[in-house]
Amino acid sequence: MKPIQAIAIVCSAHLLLCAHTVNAQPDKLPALGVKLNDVTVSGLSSGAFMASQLYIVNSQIMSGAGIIAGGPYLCALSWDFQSHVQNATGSCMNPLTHSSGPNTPHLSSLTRQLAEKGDIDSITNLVDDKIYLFNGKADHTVTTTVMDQTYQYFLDLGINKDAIEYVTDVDAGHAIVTTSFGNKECAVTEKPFINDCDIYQAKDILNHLYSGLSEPAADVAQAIVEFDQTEFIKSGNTSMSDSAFVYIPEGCREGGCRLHIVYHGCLQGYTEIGDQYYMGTGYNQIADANDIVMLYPQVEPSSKDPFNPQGCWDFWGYSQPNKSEPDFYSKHAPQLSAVRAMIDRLAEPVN
Amino acid sequence: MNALTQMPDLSMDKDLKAALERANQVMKTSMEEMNLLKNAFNPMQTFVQINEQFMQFFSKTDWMGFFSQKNDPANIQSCMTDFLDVQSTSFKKLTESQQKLLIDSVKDISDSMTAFKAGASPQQNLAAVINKNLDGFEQIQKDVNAQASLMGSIQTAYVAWLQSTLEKTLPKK
Repeated sequence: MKPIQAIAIVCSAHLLLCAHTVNAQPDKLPALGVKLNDVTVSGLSSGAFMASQLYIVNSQIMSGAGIIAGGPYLCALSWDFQSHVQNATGSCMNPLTHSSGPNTPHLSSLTRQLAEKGDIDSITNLVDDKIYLFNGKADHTVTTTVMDQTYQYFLDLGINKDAIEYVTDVDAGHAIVTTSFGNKECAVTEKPFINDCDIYQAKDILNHLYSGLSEPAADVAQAIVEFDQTEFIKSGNTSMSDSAFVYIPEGCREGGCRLHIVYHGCLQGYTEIGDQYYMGTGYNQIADANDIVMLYPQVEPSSKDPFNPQGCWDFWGYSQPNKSEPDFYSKHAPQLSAVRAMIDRLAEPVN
Repeated sequence: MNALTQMPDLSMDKDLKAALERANQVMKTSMEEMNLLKNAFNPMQTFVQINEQFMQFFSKTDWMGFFSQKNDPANIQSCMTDFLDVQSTSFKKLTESQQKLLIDSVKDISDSMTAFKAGASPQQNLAAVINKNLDGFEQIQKDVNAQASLMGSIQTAYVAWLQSTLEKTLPKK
């Protein structure tokens, strides 16, 4: 039984105790008339790499990104004499030395070339954006060597230094950090990769990306909607789950709200940790108080075709296993185009 | 009591049952990991990917200029410094990793030897030995995985050094 089905059964048995309900038959993602000029994104680990990808590729509609333990866009193309997967694991996570980390000058140059070819939006859109970066001191999965290059990459693309908040002083493991939810030890790196570090990271991210936010709501309303993700998936090797989730504050049913996309990391999809990421990380409380729609795309493990045993987002090309030059980074990439289609649906006028 | 009914107790101790179940699970997980590792390799894709990028890289080189150029000593110096950095860091991390593997292996042996407890039944002692060995096996497997990951990082570091050295020293078209 999938965790989500278990939650649904428990919820129907104890309706009053549940903070939210999950449908047995996922709905279609609704049109909500969200604003397409102020979209933001954040993510952890492979979700952070994916957040960078979505942000750079769709910079025309984006105004900022939150990167928790992730390398720069195109990181898996860092070194030509290595395969993408070798770069992803050898350079983009825990490189041996500073000089064998992400090849940032090369990546900035490749980004400009892709923008000139029209494979991604123009990088001139990035100039007035805001970026939040976080790397835990006890994170040995994606190290500060890599995060420093992510910081440098955004500077190279013209983002103002003052617009980047770069946090490196928290003794956290490889995880998104919260005030009270998740692993009790802040410095550990273990499932569900959500650590109680007495820090409200979702709030810090959104406060930086959207200034002047109201304080988070004390409780979340019953506003999480499970939707059918398959209608947006156009190829067979995406590793994306059948369902994903969207949090719709009451004030967003009539349209005009902002949109934030939240990417989980490896081993953090709903098939792995249930609702802990999309309900436990604190994004929804901020959504409620500030009328921001939260979109939670989902990916799950796949041991073959594609090879993605840990359910990570694609930042090295597994979603096109039969191509020597797999496209995981442009507007046409399987996962990126699927999530863009979700954004476009949410932006359609309310019926 | 009838002598015919005095049969030895053939039921399995619950600790031994649990230890055998754990051994079964550990072996199953280990096999699954080996299968995953096998699936992870796609030598043809890797070869084509590297080959294409390699050709692209060298097509940007001005080979005529290569034979007539003089290399900047500062470039050579910086390449040598990076090389020494990769070498010394590799050596340090490999030594640490080998030491950890050695310490864990020795600990594994000594733990196994102290697993027997006086007064415990033979089945309970067997369960304790199995559990200690499995603890050791899992720890050593972790160490070996960490070492494999380190070897990957070292390989990447040398390859990255080679590429950046060529970038600094080969003239571009």
